[in-house]
Amino acid sequence: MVVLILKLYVLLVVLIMAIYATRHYRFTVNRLVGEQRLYYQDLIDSELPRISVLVPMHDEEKVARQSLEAILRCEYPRELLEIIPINDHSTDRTAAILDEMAAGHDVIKPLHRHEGQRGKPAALNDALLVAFADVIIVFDADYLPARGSLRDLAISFKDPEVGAVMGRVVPVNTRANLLTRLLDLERSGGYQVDQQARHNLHLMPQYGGTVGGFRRDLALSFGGFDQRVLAEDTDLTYRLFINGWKVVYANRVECFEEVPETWEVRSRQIRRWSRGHNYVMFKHFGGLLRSPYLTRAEKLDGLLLLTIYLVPVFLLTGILDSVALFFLGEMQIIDSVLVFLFVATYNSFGNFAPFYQIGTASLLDGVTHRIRLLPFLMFYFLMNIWTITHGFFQALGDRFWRRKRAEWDKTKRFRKEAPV
Amino acid sequence: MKDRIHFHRAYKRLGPVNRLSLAALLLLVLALDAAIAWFHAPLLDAFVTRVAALAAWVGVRTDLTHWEFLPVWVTRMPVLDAVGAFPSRRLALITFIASVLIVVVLPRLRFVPKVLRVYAVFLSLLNLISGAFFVLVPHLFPYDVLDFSLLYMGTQFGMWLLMPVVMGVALSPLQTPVWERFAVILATLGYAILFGAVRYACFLYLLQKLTVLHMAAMFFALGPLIDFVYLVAIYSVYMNVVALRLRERPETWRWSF
Repeated sequence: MVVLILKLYVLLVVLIMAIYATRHYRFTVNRLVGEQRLYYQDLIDSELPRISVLVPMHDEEKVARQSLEAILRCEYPRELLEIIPINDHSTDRTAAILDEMAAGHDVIKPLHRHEGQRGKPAALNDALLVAFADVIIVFDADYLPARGSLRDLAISFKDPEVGAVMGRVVPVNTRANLLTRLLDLERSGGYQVDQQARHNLHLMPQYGGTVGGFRRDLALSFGGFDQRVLAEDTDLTYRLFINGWKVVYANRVECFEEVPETWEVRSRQIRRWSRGHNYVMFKHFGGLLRSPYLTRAEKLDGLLLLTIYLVPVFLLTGILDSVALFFLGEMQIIDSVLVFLFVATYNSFGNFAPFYQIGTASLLDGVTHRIRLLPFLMFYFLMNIWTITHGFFQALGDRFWRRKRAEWDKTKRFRKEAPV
Repeated sequence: MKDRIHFHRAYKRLGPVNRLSLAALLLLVLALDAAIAWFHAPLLDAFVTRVAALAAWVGVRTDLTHWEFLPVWVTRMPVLDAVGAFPSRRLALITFIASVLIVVVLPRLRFVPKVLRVYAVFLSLLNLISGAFFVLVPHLFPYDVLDFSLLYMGTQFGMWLLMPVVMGVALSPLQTPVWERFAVILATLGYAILFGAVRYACFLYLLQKLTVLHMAAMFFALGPLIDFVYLVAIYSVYMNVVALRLRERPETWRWSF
């Protein structure tokens, strides 16, 4: 009986993997050969909305100046723009850099936080209260937007259905090492194919918390960002969709970011995402299914997106299950072929984007020789499973113990420029 | 001044998939799988005979035998049996202790990239369980070389059937000539057979000359996992070729709709 249950569980894991592999295959085909749904960048409108650009920063002396200078270079009427860099409990020179930049530019209005909870949701909540605009654009501290980014992001809010917008993230330090090259491939698959296909298919593109924007009144009507959540972006995405709003994806709006250059930092980042995302899963699972505003396709896509960080947990237990079957002498041919199947299907989905999705994205991006690094994504295989599972159990703990606040783990920066 | 402005990457795409070529690819993959299934007996026999020769070349004595009871349509699976090196209790104990040490100490060695640490701990856990088996209940260890061979051959044959399908699906949205994509599928299959033979001979060598203690680690670390790596590697090389070709032919790209 135990052996039968173990074998059935292997089958269940393969089935789950196959569902995701099929979903991503559909996205790949749609993006490569299907009709593409354009974004609003061609809208010519003389009345651009007022915008507040929020940039949460905690100990960001390495990147703060560059990031603000890039935002300042963006083309947007100055009378409609304010930039609020949020100094969130920094202990390095971040505060001094922000004050220095503010002295030279009227549009920069730093917000210094020394009290209350540290972390992006709390920082954004404070900034929402002082922001002068109805449209909020958010960049992380290491982001370097292109000149047209602000206009292109803000214009989407001319559509009254749009609650949030998301642009494309492109690594700036791709050539640093193998990891950054792999992350570049992964990002390419995630944005060029995954997000754009979901936009094309009227499913659920995700607001990613940076290079994006949302309506201030909506965020405030939801009670601001939930400070218990480490994935405030996913939380907002689901709140919007569940309440009848849309999130649109702007593939044309590209913004450079710094990706982690060490496996340790990358691992911590994924664990934080997993913890936050899984917390959001517990929070919105029922609401998503009950929402009267969503189509069946949106609900299905939303469900698969919501549970995406749960799949590695299934896979890890599936591998342990296979090991148990092996040592029980029950690993027969069919089971061992299934092991291949779930390795294959996991790699068809497990590195956040399957190999054929990344290959297709690279083709669309005009990448050539770097595509040959694809097999190295296998390096991620076990690390991702382990890290994401760890994050899942942390989320479970957060939910079970009803933790009021989540510890924010800042991503280490690698930029070489010395602080001025 | 540029004399030509290409489509921006954000919304460019290829033209619709030609249904005829898609159907042709599908038929070729099905025909290939049908051929493997139909000719499985001579194919498997030839494979095992060559592995036996390879094993003999490195000094491993094997006996060719056929497994009869398989429940599916592969009724006679040829496998190689050999005398495995049963580990002494001392070796098993050393393996067990070494594995425990790795599992406990390695996660704390921050200078080792995490990606390698996780992999090494996983392998050590497998060796830890195997070591414990051979220390405590050696007679209950569920595999000998024959069992392992049967598992290996079964998995290998499963791969031969699955690989064309996985690769065919991955290549299906491309618009390169069908024969070219089918050649990639054949190359993957050919590599799988070649690599599978060399790996089988290596496994037999390790099991006979070293110990059967590491069977689990061999299967989980160098089995299906590695098969997938070279499948993706071949796919990536082909995609690189396609990408270079498309760079020379920008007119292939279309805009949005």
